[in-house]
Amino acid sequence: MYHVYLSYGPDSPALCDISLRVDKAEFMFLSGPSGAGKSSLLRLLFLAERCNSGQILLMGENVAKLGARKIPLLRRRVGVVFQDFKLLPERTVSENVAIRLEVEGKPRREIQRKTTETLRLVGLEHKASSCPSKLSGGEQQRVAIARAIANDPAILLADEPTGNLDPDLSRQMYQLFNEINSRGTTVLVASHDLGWAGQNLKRVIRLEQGRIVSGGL
Amino acid sequence: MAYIAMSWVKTWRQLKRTPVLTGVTLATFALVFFILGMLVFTGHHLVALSERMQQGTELSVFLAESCSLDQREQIQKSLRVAPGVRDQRFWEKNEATDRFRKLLGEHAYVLDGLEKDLLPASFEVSFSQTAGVDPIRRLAGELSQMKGVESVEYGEGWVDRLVPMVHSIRTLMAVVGGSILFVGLLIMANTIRLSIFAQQEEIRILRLVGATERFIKTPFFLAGGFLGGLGAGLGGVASWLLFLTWIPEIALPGWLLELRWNVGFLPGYWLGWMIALGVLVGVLGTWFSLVRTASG
Repeated sequence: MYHVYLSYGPDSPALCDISLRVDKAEFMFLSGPSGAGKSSLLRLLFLAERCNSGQILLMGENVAKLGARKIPLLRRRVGVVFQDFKLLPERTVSENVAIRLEVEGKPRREIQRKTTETLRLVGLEHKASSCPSKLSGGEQQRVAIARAIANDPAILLADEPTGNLDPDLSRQMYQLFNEINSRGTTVLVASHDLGWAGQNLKRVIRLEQGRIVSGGL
Repeated sequence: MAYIAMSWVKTWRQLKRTPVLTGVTLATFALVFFILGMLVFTGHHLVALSERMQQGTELSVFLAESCSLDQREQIQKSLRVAPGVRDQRFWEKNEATDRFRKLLGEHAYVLDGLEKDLLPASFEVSFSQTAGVDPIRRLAGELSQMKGVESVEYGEGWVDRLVPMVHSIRTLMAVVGGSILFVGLLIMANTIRLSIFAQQEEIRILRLVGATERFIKTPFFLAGGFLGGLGAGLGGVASWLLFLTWIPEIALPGWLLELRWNVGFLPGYWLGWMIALGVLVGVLGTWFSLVRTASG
């Protein structure tokens, strides 16, 4: 990102002059108080928002100027995990994970194979036929992670993924992210909880009032 | 192929998710097309009847008892040179009565006990399709002034009223039919919009995981077309069933018998057209709804 600005109105600047670089297969944290701009920064990366100015180079493409038709293609290469999971309550665990592969038009057999493989990775293969309402918070978050990585995206973004979880579960989540990262996926996590990041010597970028105060370029 | 199959699976899942809404939409569409079917049925037969009446407009020249051979020949000569006349035929008295008996068919018993030569001798004149009513009216006026002619009839009362009346009915049916179809379109648009609102969260998530607009919208179009086609088919079949139970109970008036006009249902291909129209209205209603619903 180079000199990126984002505001939601004349009196509501969200991000000011953001410049940062994240290398391929890096595992990085975004920290800062509420309202610092962590979520806004992540939203720029999967084009839920458009910056007002600046450049955002993602996998060699300037996504700040990406046409509307190409957005779905970008989002297939970027997996996103949310604090509130955003699972489909009427579908089973495996159907929730399979969505990501269905939108790409993968054959049914491959969808089943990848879904099973991904659920095994997150430790939920035995819950494939369950509905999200029957799962604990930690399990639901793991389903959300499984959905985000089912098609082996290049980048995984997580916005407060442990916000609704207790410390033990949070640790498990970060371990899972670490394992995903070890397979070559670039991971960016926005979080208040930096205990695990510090222990594992992960890079942390701190935001305050829409500006990077440490860890940027 | 796989994409279409998957789209149908999603469509079916979508319809099952809102069974009440799906059922009400289907029933409403069936009603819309039932009414349309009855309108088309009525319009089709009115038009056919009108054409038959116009084509079959014949002028009857009834001769007086005292009509001489010379007078008869004069009348025949006039008919031969009259514009628009396609054919003329002379009926002797007994021939005219026999002919009338045949027209009455199973009701011919009403003539039993009456004189054999009940009807006068007459000329029956038929006209070309393009003749129009005016030449007939003029000829009738001329003939009624001739010696030997008792009376001239061509059904002037109802023929003069029929043509503009049928035209008005056609126009009215087109307007009513068009309005009914528009109502159907609005119903489908609202149904799809409700369906979209019910699935807003799912649509949002689909966009987040990289679904294209085509992937998201195709099931809605398939649902709209399916409900429209099925509703139209049900409505068409319902109007046919009504015809089967109701029409045989109606006693046709004599003038229809004379025209040998048969009240049959619509031709078979009309149901195909109705279904195609139902699919089109369903798809259009869906498009209308999707255009008005903002994309996220």
